[in-house]
Amino acid sequence: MSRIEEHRTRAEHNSQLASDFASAFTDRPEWAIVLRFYSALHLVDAYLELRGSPVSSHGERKAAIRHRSELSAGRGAQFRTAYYWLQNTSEQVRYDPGFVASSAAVAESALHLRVVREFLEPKLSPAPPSTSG
Amino acid sequence: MSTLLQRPRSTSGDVATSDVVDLPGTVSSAWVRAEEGSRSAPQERLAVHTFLAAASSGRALAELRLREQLRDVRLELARLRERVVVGTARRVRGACAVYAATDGHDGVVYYVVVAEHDAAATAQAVDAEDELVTIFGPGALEVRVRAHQGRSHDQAVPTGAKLLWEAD
Repeated sequence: MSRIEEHRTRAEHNSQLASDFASAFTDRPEWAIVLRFYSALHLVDAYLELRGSPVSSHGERKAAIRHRSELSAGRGAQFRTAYYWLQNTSEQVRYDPGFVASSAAVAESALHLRVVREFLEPKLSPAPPSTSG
Repeated sequence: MSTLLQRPRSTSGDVATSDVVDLPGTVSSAWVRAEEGSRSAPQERLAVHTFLAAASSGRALAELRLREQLRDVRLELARLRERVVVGTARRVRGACAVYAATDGHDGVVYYVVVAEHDAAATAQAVDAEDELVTIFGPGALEVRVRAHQGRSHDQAVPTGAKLLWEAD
């Protein structure tokens, strides 16, 4: 399995795990946000790997997203907002012991992950075979 | 008390320059001492040596003053940078406070504190970060959003983060 496929598989696992987690722990579902952030992160890493610009830190990832106009301008702006909403919120879930993620926030995290997936997944799929000839 | 010490004289009775051990003194006092008594060759050499040592102390002082001025300039630049950061970050919708903290490497993370996470605030924080990176260069800063959720603002940021601005 290629590195790109590994990232995509991990993204899918994290996304599924987030849904399972939110369903299983309805009283404290906030870690579903963290799982969704990491799902988004693996999709970003798969894309950057595909483009020949692998990254190894949040800082590098952020700079790569900023410098690639297809990720930061036009529809990319929505993707970027969704990605950083997930990052900011998941950081607070992990590091701020007084932070409470409401069920609305957990539901919103699913919407933001969907924005990331709908934006990146088509770019990760191999181009359809040419019908000409 | 003399500010110069001499090692024991050599057998020739002369004092080699390298035999002189300097202690802190002033140029004028060195010349006065050189003028006192007979002006033998060893004493003249001693006076010249002491003068050069004192002049070198003068250079050190000038260097020290230059460093202090440089430090003042750096502090002023840091204050200006903070003013630019606050002016940009406080425009994020619902911003209640702006904090700064080091990221553990060479960079600085600026935290914009809002009541709750929302997409509009996140989008504006991303824009603010782009603007600041354009001004200050890449790699040195990040803007992140934190929700206070009704708590005091400092509860939403890492311990030790420095408050740069707070809404009235």
